[in-house]
Amino acid sequence: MEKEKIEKVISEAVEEVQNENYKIVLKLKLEGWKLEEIAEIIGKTREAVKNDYKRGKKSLKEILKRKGYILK
Amino acid sequence: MKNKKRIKAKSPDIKNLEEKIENLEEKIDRIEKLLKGFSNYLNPDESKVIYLDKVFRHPIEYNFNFTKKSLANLVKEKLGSTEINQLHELGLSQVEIEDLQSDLYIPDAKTSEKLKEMLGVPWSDFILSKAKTYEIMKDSPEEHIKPYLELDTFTLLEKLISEKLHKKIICFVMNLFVKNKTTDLLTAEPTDYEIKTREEIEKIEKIQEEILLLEYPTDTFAGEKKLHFKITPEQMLDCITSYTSSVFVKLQIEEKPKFYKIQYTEWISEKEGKDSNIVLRDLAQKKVFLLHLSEFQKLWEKANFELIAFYDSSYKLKNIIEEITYIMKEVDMELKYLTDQTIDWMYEEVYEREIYMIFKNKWIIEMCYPDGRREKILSYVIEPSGY
Repeated sequence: MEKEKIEKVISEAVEEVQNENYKIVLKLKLEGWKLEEIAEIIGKTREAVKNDYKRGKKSLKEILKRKGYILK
Repeated sequence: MKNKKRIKAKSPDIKNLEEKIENLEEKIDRIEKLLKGFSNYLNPDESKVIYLDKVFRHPIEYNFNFTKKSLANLVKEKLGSTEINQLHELGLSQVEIEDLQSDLYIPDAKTSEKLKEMLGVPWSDFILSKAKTYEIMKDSPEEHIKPYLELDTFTLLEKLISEKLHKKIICFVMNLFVKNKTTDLLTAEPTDYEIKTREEIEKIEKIQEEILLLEYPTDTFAGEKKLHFKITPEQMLDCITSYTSSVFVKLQIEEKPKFYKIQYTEWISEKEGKDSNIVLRDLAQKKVFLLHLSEFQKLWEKANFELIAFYDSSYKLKNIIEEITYIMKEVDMELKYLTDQTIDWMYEEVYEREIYMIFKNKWIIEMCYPDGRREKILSYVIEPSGY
Protein backbone atom coordinates (compact mmCIF):
# COMPACT_ATOMS: atom_id res chain seq x y z
CA MET A 1 0.00 0.00 0.00
CA GLU A 2 1.27 3.49 -0.76
CA LYS A 3 2.61 5.55 2.13
CA GLU A 4 0.07 8.32 1.61
CA LYS A 5 -2.79 5.83 1.81
CA ILE A 6 -1.31 4.18 4.90
CA GLU A 7 -1.06 7.60 6.54
CA LYS A 8 -4.71 8.32 5.71
CA VAL A 9 -6.01 4.92 6.82
CA ILE A 10 -4.10 4.95 10.11
CA SER A 11 -4.94 8.60 10.84
CA GLU A 12 -8.64 7.84 10.42
CA ALA A 13 -8.37 4.70 12.54
CA VAL A 14 -6.56 6.60 15.32
CA GLU A 15 -9.47 9.03 15.50
CA GLU A 16 -11.72 6.04 16.23
CA VAL A 17 -9.73 4.98 19.29
CA GLN A 18 -12.12 5.58 22.16
CA ASN A 19 -9.70 6.24 25.00
CA GLU A 20 -8.42 9.85 24.81
CA ASN A 21 -5.14 9.04 26.57
CA TYR A 22 -4.33 6.22 24.16
CA LYS A 23 -5.31 8.43 21.25
CA ILE A 24 -2.94 11.27 22.26
CA VAL A 25 -0.03 8.90 22.81
CA LEU A 26 -0.65 7.19 19.45
CA LYS A 27 -0.81 10.54 17.66
CA LEU A 28 2.40 11.81 19.22
CA LYS A 29 4.15 8.51 18.58
CA LEU A 30 3.08 8.63 14.92
CA GLU A 31 4.45 12.17 14.70
CA GLY A 32 7.81 10.75 15.67
CA TRP A 33 8.05 11.70 19.35
CA LYS A 34 9.94 9.41 21.70
CA LEU A 35 8.21 7.95 24.75
CA GLU A 36 10.36 10.08 27.08
CA GLU A 37 9.37 13.23 25.22
CA ILE A 38 5.71 12.26 25.20
CA ALA A 39 5.91 11.68 28.95
CA GLU A 40 7.33 15.18 29.37
CA ILE A 41 4.71 16.79 27.15
CA ILE A 42 1.78 15.02 28.78
CA GLY A 43 3.16 15.19 32.30
CA LYS A 44 3.12 11.45 33.02
CA THR A 45 5.81 8.90 33.77
CA ARG A 46 7.49 7.06 30.92
CA GLU A 47 6.02 3.79 32.19
CA ALA A 48 2.48 5.16 32.17
CA VAL A 49 2.97 6.44 28.63
CA LYS A 50 4.40 3.09 27.57
CA ASN A 51 1.29 1.32 28.89
CA ASP A 52 -1.01 3.76 27.10
CA TYR A 53 0.98 3.21 23.93
CA LYS A 54 0.72 -0.60 24.14
CA ARG A 55 -2.99 -0.52 24.82
CA GLY A 56 -3.58 2.17 22.22
CA LYS A 57 -1.77 0.12 19.62
CA LYS A 58 -3.92 -2.89 20.49
CA SER A 59 -7.10 -0.84 20.03
CA LEU A 60 -5.77 0.52 16.76
CA LYS A 61 -5.04 -2.99 15.49
CA GLU A 62 -8.58 -4.09 16.31
CA ILE A 63 -10.06 -1.11 14.49
CA LEU A 64 -7.92 -1.72 11.42
CA LYS A 65 -8.77 -5.43 11.38
CA ARG A 66 -12.45 -4.58 11.68
CA LYS A 67 -12.04 -2.40 8.63
CA GLY A 68 -10.68 -5.38 6.75
CA TYR A 69 -6.99 -4.55 6.79
CA ILE A 70 -4.41 -7.26 7.19
CA LEU A 71 -1.77 -6.36 9.74
CA LYS A 72 1.68 -7.77 9.49
CA MET B 1 -54.59 -42.67 2.92
CA LYS B 2 -51.91 -45.31 2.99
CA ASN B 3 -49.46 -42.97 1.24
CA LYS B 4 -50.20 -40.15 3.61
CA LYS B 5 -49.53 -42.38 6.60
CA ARG B 6 -46.26 -43.56 5.12
CA ILE B 7 -45.06 -39.99 4.53
CA LYS B 8 -46.14 -39.02 8.03
CA ALA B 9 -44.24 -41.97 9.43
CA LYS B 10 -41.06 -40.99 7.58
CA SER B 11 -41.17 -37.24 8.31
CA PRO B 12 -39.04 -37.28 11.55
CA ASP B 13 -36.19 -38.98 9.66
CA ILE B 14 -36.39 -36.44 6.87
CA LYS B 15 -36.34 -33.64 9.43
CA ASN B 16 -33.26 -35.12 11.05
CA LEU B 17 -31.58 -35.45 7.72
CA GLU B 18 -32.42 -31.89 6.80
CA GLU B 19 -30.98 -30.65 10.09
CA LYS B 20 -27.82 -32.65 9.52
CA ILE B 21 -27.50 -31.26 6.02
CA GLU B 22 -27.96 -27.72 7.35
CA ASN B 23 -25.28 -28.32 10.00
CA LEU B 24 -22.94 -29.68 7.42
CA GLU B 25 -23.56 -26.71 5.16
CA GLU B 26 -22.77 -24.32 8.03
CA LYS B 27 -19.59 -26.22 8.75
CA ILE B 28 -18.62 -26.08 5.09
CA ASP B 29 -19.28 -22.33 5.07
CA ARG B 30 -17.05 -21.85 8.09
CA ILE B 31 -14.33 -24.00 6.62
CA GLU B 32 -14.56 -22.05 3.37
CA LYS B 33 -14.29 -18.77 5.23
CA LEU B 34 -11.31 -20.05 7.18
CA LEU B 35 -9.69 -21.28 4.01
CA LYS B 36 -10.35 -17.93 2.35
CA GLY B 37 -8.88 -16.08 5.33
CA PHE B 38 -5.90 -18.39 5.33
CA SER B 39 -5.46 -17.98 1.61
CA ASN B 40 -5.79 -14.17 1.99
CA TYR B 41 -3.11 -14.25 4.61
CA LEU B 42 -0.82 -16.35 2.44
CA ASN B 43 -1.59 -14.45 -0.75
CA PRO B 44 -2.93 -11.15 0.54
CA ASP B 45 -4.50 -8.41 -1.47
CA GLU B 46 -1.61 -5.93 -1.13
CA SER B 47 -3.99 -2.99 -1.06
CA LYS B 48 -5.23 -4.25 2.31
CA VAL B 49 -1.90 -4.99 3.98
CA ILE B 50 -0.44 -2.66 6.58
CA TYR B 51 2.91 -3.30 8.19
CA LEU B 52 1.89 -1.53 11.37
CA ASP B 53 5.05 -2.17 13.39
CA LYS B 54 7.13 -0.77 10.56
CA VAL B 55 4.93 2.35 10.51
CA PHE B 56 5.47 2.85 14.24
CA ARG B 57 9.20 2.25 13.88
CA HIS B 58 9.63 4.85 11.13
CA PRO B 59 6.62 7.17 11.44
CA ILE B 60 8.43 10.18 9.97
CA GLU B 61 8.40 8.51 6.53
CA TYR B 62 4.61 8.65 6.49
CA ASN B 63 4.20 12.36 7.30
CA PHE B 64 1.59 12.03 10.00
CA ASN B 65 0.37 15.41 11.08
CA PHE B 66 -2.13 15.65 13.87
CA THR B 67 -0.75 18.82 15.40
CA LYS B 68 -2.15 21.97 13.92
CA LYS B 69 -1.47 24.93 16.20
CA SER B 70 1.28 25.79 18.61
CA LEU B 71 0.52 27.15 22.09
CA ALA B 72 1.32 30.69 20.94
CA ASN B 73 -1.17 30.35 18.08
CA LEU B 74 -3.76 28.90 20.40
CA VAL B 75 -3.32 31.76 22.88
CA LYS B 76 -3.51 34.29 20.05
CA GLU B 77 -6.67 32.71 18.67
CA LYS B 78 -8.53 32.08 21.90
CA LEU B 79 -7.58 34.97 24.16
CA GLY B 80 -8.32 38.66 23.74
CA SER B 81 -6.03 41.35 25.13
CA THR B 82 -7.88 41.45 28.47
CA GLU B 83 -7.67 37.71 28.88
CA ILE B 84 -3.98 37.73 28.02
CA ASN B 85 -3.46 40.05 30.98
CA GLN B 86 -5.20 37.44 33.12
CA LEU B 87 -2.41 34.99 32.36
CA HIS B 88 -0.68 36.49 35.41
CA GLU B 89 -3.35 34.82 37.49
CA LEU B 90 -1.99 31.45 36.42
CA GLY B 91 1.21 32.35 38.23
CA LEU B 92 3.13 33.25 35.09
CA SER B 93 5.63 36.10 35.14
CA GLN B 94 5.63 38.81 32.46
CA VAL B 95 8.65 37.21 30.78
CA GLU B 96 6.96 33.79 30.81
CA ILE B 97 3.82 35.29 29.27
CA GLU B 98 5.86 36.95 26.53
CA ASP B 99 7.73 33.71 25.93
CA LEU B 100 4.46 31.78 25.84
CA GLN B 101 3.22 34.13 23.13
CA SER B 102 6.39 33.47 21.14
CA ASP B 103 6.51 29.70 21.57
CA LEU B 104 9.50 29.92 23.85
CA TYR B 105 7.85 28.60 26.98
CA ILE B 106 6.23 25.32 28.00
CA PRO B 107 4.01 25.52 31.08
CA ASP B 108 4.34 22.81 33.73
CA ALA B 109 1.59 20.23 34.33
CA LYS B 110 -0.28 22.34 36.90
CA THR B 111 -0.21 25.53 34.84
CA SER B 112 -1.09 23.54 31.72
CA GLU B 113 -4.30 22.39 33.36
CA LYS B 114 -5.28 25.97 34.25
CA LEU B 115 -4.23 27.32 30.88
CA LYS B 116 -6.27 24.66 29.11
CA GLU B 117 -9.31 25.77 31.12
CA MET B 118 -8.67 29.39 30.23
CA LEU B 119 -8.31 28.59 26.54
CA GLY B 120 -11.42 26.43 26.62
CA VAL B 121 -9.99 23.71 24.39
CA PRO B 122 -10.16 19.91 24.75
CA TRP B 123 -7.26 18.28 26.58
CA SER B 124 -6.10 16.42 23.46
CA ASP B 125 -5.95 19.65 21.40
CA PHE B 126 -4.01 21.35 24.19
CA ILE B 127 -1.49 18.51 24.41
CA LEU B 128 -0.98 18.47 20.64
CA SER B 129 -0.41 22.24 20.67
CA LYS B 130 2.05 21.77 23.50
CA ALA B 131 3.88 19.21 21.34
CA LYS B 132 3.97 21.68 18.46
CA THR B 133 5.56 24.27 20.73
CA TYR B 134 8.10 21.66 21.88
CA GLU B 135 8.94 21.09 18.24
CA ILE B 136 9.43 24.81 17.63
CA MET B 137 11.48 25.17 20.78
CA LYS B 138 13.76 22.32 19.76
CA ASP B 139 15.19 24.64 17.13
CA SER B 140 15.14 27.81 19.16
CA PRO B 141 18.30 29.42 20.53
CA GLU B 142 16.89 28.98 24.03
CA GLU B 143 16.83 25.24 23.67
CA HIS B 144 20.32 25.09 22.26
CA ILE B 145 21.84 27.23 24.97
CA LYS B 146 20.31 25.14 27.76
CA PRO B 147 23.53 23.20 28.48
CA TYR B 148 25.42 26.47 28.62
CA LEU B 149 23.13 27.86 31.27
CA GLU B 150 24.75 25.44 33.65
CA LEU B 151 28.16 27.00 33.07
CA ASP B 152 29.54 29.77 35.15
CA THR B 153 29.46 33.14 33.36
CA PHE B 154 33.13 33.43 32.73
CA THR B 155 33.75 29.76 32.09
CA LEU B 156 31.38 30.22 29.22
CA LEU B 157 33.04 33.41 28.07
CA GLU B 158 36.48 31.85 28.25
CA LYS B 159 35.21 28.82 26.41
CA LEU B 160 34.08 31.06 23.58
CA ILE B 161 37.37 32.86 23.51
CA SER B 162 39.45 29.68 23.61
CA GLU B 163 37.67 28.60 20.44
CA LYS B 164 38.41 31.96 18.92
CA LEU B 165 36.50 32.54 15.77
CA HIS B 166 37.94 34.36 12.84
CA LYS B 167 36.06 37.14 11.14
CA LYS B 168 32.71 36.53 12.61
CA ILE B 169 30.00 38.56 14.22
CA ILE B 170 29.10 36.95 17.48
CA CYS B 171 25.81 37.75 19.06
CA PHE B 172 26.60 37.58 22.70
CA VAL B 173 23.49 36.80 24.70
CA MET B 174 23.49 38.43 28.07
CA ASN B 175 20.58 36.59 29.59
CA LEU B 176 22.93 33.68 29.96
CA PHE B 177 24.46 35.76 32.69
CA VAL B 178 21.33 37.10 34.22
CA LYS B 179 20.50 33.70 35.61
CA ASN B 180 23.81 33.43 37.38
CA LYS B 181 23.58 36.99 38.62
CA THR B 182 20.14 36.34 40.01
CA THR B 183 21.40 33.31 41.88
CA ASP B 184 24.21 35.37 43.31
CA LEU B 185 21.81 38.07 44.31
CA LEU B 186 19.65 35.64 46.18
CA THR B 187 22.42 33.84 47.99
CA ALA B 188 24.85 36.65 48.78
CA GLU B 189 24.80 39.94 50.61
CA PRO B 190 23.98 42.94 48.40
CA THR B 191 27.51 44.32 48.89
CA ASP B 192 29.05 41.09 47.67
CA TYR B 193 26.75 41.17 44.73
CA GLU B 194 27.82 44.69 43.81
CA ILE B 195 31.48 43.81 44.05
CA LYS B 196 31.00 40.70 41.99
CA THR B 197 29.03 42.59 39.38
CA ARG B 198 31.73 45.20 39.07
CA GLU B 199 34.27 42.42 38.67
CA GLU B 200 32.15 40.88 36.02
CA ILE B 201 31.88 44.14 34.18
CA GLU B 202 35.62 44.65 34.38
CA LYS B 203 36.20 41.18 33.06
CA ILE B 204 33.79 41.74 30.22
CA GLU B 205 35.52 45.01 29.36
CA LYS B 206 38.86 43.29 29.46
CA ILE B 207 37.95 40.45 27.21
CA GLN B 208 35.34 41.95 24.96
CA GLU B 209 37.98 42.75 22.39
CA GLU B 210 38.71 39.07 22.17
CA ILE B 211 35.24 37.99 21.32
CA LEU B 212 34.65 37.94 17.64
CA LEU B 213 31.41 37.08 16.17
CA LEU B 214 29.77 36.82 12.57
CA GLU B 215 31.12 37.70 9.18
CA TYR B 216 29.43 39.56 6.42
CA PRO B 217 30.33 37.44 3.42
CA THR B 218 29.69 38.28 -0.22
CA ASP B 219 29.75 34.68 -1.34
CA THR B 220 29.76 31.41 0.45
CA PHE B 221 29.07 27.77 -0.12
CA ALA B 222 26.39 25.56 1.34
CA GLY B 223 27.43 22.08 0.36
CA GLU B 224 28.04 22.22 -3.38
CA LYS B 225 25.99 25.34 -3.94
CA LYS B 226 27.55 28.75 -4.24
CA LEU B 227 25.42 31.33 -2.54
CA HIS B 228 25.45 35.05 -3.14
CA PHE B 229 24.75 37.30 -0.23
CA LYS B 230 23.00 40.39 -1.46
CA ILE B 231 22.32 41.93 1.90
CA THR B 232 24.36 45.09 2.34
CA PRO B 233 26.63 45.78 5.31
CA GLU B 234 24.34 48.62 6.35
CA GLN B 235 21.32 46.36 6.39
CA MET B 236 23.22 43.79 8.38
CA LEU B 237 24.43 46.40 10.80
CA ASP B 238 20.94 47.81 11.06
CA CYS B 239 19.63 44.46 12.22
CA ILE B 240 22.42 43.88 14.63
CA THR B 241 22.21 47.34 16.18
CA SER B 242 18.44 47.63 16.27
CA TYR B 243 18.13 45.44 19.36
CA THR B 244 21.13 46.62 21.30
CA SER B 245 23.37 49.62 21.66
CA SER B 246 26.25 47.33 22.63
CA VAL B 247 27.84 46.60 19.30
CA PHE B 248 31.57 46.82 18.82
CA VAL B 249 33.31 46.81 15.46
CA LYS B 250 37.01 46.32 14.82
CA LEU B 251 38.32 48.85 12.32
CA GLN B 252 41.52 50.63 11.53
CA ILE B 253 40.97 54.35 11.84
CA GLU B 254 44.21 55.20 13.60
CA GLU B 255 47.52 53.31 13.71
CA LYS B 256 46.23 49.89 14.69
CA PRO B 257 42.89 48.17 14.24
CA LYS B 258 40.78 48.59 17.33
CA PHE B 259 37.36 47.83 18.63
CA TYR B 260 35.01 50.78 18.58
CA LYS B 261 31.57 50.97 20.02
CA ILE B 262 29.32 51.61 17.09
CA GLN B 263 26.17 53.62 16.75
CA TYR B 264 24.06 54.98 13.91
CA THR B 265 23.10 58.59 13.81
CA GLU B 266 21.37 60.97 11.47
CA TRP B 267 22.47 64.55 10.96
CA ILE B 268 21.07 67.26 8.87
CA SER B 269 23.61 69.20 6.88
CA GLU B 270 22.66 72.46 5.22
CA LYS B 271 24.23 71.40 1.96
CA GLU B 272 23.38 67.73 1.72
CA GLY B 273 20.23 67.53 3.83
CA LYS B 274 19.46 64.52 6.02
CA ASP B 275 22.15 61.87 6.00
CA SER B 276 23.10 58.72 7.86
CA ASN B 277 26.33 58.53 9.74
CA ILE B 278 28.18 56.26 12.02
CA VAL B 279 29.50 57.21 15.42
CA LEU B 280 32.47 55.20 16.57
CA ARG B 281 33.59 55.46 20.16
CA ASP B 282 36.97 54.42 21.41
CA LEU B 283 35.98 53.68 24.97
CA ALA B 284 39.51 53.26 26.28
CA GLN B 285 40.80 56.57 24.87
CA LYS B 286 37.45 58.31 25.18
CA LYS B 287 37.57 59.40 21.56
CA VAL B 288 34.61 59.74 19.24
CA PHE B 289 34.70 59.47 15.45
CA LEU B 290 31.85 60.53 13.24
CA LEU B 291 31.94 58.87 9.85
CA HIS B 292 29.81 59.16 6.81
CA LEU B 293 28.15 55.85 6.03
CA SER B 294 30.02 55.43 2.72
CA GLU B 295 33.33 56.05 4.50
CA PHE B 296 32.45 53.52 7.11
CA GLN B 297 31.62 50.99 4.44
CA LYS B 298 35.00 51.52 2.78
CA LEU B 299 36.76 50.96 6.08
CA TRP B 300 34.66 47.96 6.81
CA GLU B 301 35.39 46.34 3.47
CA LYS B 302 39.10 46.96 3.94
CA ALA B 303 39.28 45.67 7.47
CA ASN B 304 38.85 42.25 8.90
CA PHE B 305 35.52 43.46 10.07
CA GLU B 306 34.86 41.93 13.41
CA LEU B 307 31.78 42.65 15.37
CA ILE B 308 30.70 41.96 18.87
CA ALA B 309 27.08 42.45 19.74
CA PHE B 310 25.78 42.06 23.25
CA TYR B 311 22.14 41.23 23.66
CA ASP B 312 20.29 41.02 26.90
CA SER B 313 18.18 38.09 25.78
CA SER B 314 18.20 35.35 23.21
CA TYR B 315 14.70 36.45 22.29
CA LYS B 316 16.27 39.49 20.67
CA LEU B 317 18.67 37.26 18.84
CA LYS B 318 15.67 35.47 17.42
CA ASN B 319 14.27 38.82 16.25
CA ILE B 320 17.49 39.55 14.44
CA ILE B 321 17.40 36.24 12.67
CA GLU B 322 13.86 36.98 11.57
CA GLU B 323 14.78 40.46 10.43
CA ILE B 324 17.77 39.30 8.42
CA THR B 325 15.66 36.58 6.85
CA TYR B 326 13.03 39.16 5.99
CA ILE B 327 15.52 41.51 4.35
CA MET B 328 16.93 38.66 2.36
CA LYS B 329 13.51 37.73 1.10
CA GLU B 330 12.92 41.32 -0.01
CA VAL B 331 16.24 41.40 -1.80
CA ASP B 332 15.39 38.12 -3.43
CA MET B 333 12.13 39.44 -4.79
CA GLU B 334 13.82 42.51 -6.17
CA LEU B 335 16.45 40.38 -7.86
CA LYS B 336 13.84 38.06 -9.26
CA TYR B 337 12.03 41.02 -10.73
CA LEU B 338 15.16 42.49 -12.29
CA THR B 339 16.90 39.42 -13.61
CA ASP B 340 14.30 36.71 -13.45
CA GLN B 341 16.95 34.38 -12.22
CA THR B 342 16.27 31.43 -10.02
CA ILE B 343 16.79 32.38 -6.45
CA ASP B 344 18.33 30.01 -4.04
CA TRP B 345 16.46 30.35 -0.80
CA MET B 346 18.96 28.21 0.98
CA TYR B 347 21.08 31.11 2.02
CA GLU B 348 18.52 32.07 4.61
CA GLU B 349 19.35 28.86 6.41
CA VAL B 350 23.04 29.51 6.02
CA TYR B 351 22.64 32.86 7.71
CA GLU B 352 20.64 31.36 10.50
CA ARG B 353 23.38 28.83 11.03
CA GLU B 354 25.93 31.60 11.08
CA ILE B 355 24.07 33.35 13.83
CA TYR B 356 23.33 30.26 15.85
CA MET B 357 26.91 29.24 15.61
CA ILE B 358 28.26 30.13 18.99
CA PHE B 359 26.13 27.71 20.89
CA LYS B 360 26.81 24.53 19.10
CA ASN B 361 29.37 21.98 18.19
CA LYS B 362 32.23 22.80 15.92
CA TRP B 363 31.34 22.95 12.30
CA ILE B 364 33.22 23.93 9.22
CA ILE B 365 31.94 26.63 6.94
CA GLU B 366 33.73 27.20 3.69
CA MET B 367 33.80 30.81 2.71
CA CYS B 368 34.47 31.96 -0.84
CA TYR B 369 35.75 35.49 -1.37
CA PRO B 370 35.38 37.65 -4.48
CA ASP B 371 39.10 37.30 -5.28
CA GLY B 372 38.68 33.54 -5.52
CA ARG B 373 40.18 32.84 -2.12
CA ARG B 374 38.54 30.14 -0.07
CA GLU B 375 38.72 29.66 3.60
CA LYS B 376 37.48 27.04 5.97
CA ILE B 377 36.28 28.46 9.20
CA LEU B 378 35.83 26.48 12.33
CA SER B 379 32.83 27.63 14.23
CA TYR B 380 30.26 26.68 16.76
CA VAL B 381 27.13 25.87 14.89
CA ILE B 382 23.72 24.90 15.98
CA GLU B 383 22.47 22.57 13.37
CA PRO B 384 18.72 22.66 13.50
CA SER B 385 17.09 19.41 12.47
CA GLY B 386 16.59 19.01 8.78
CA TYR B 387 19.71 20.92 7.78
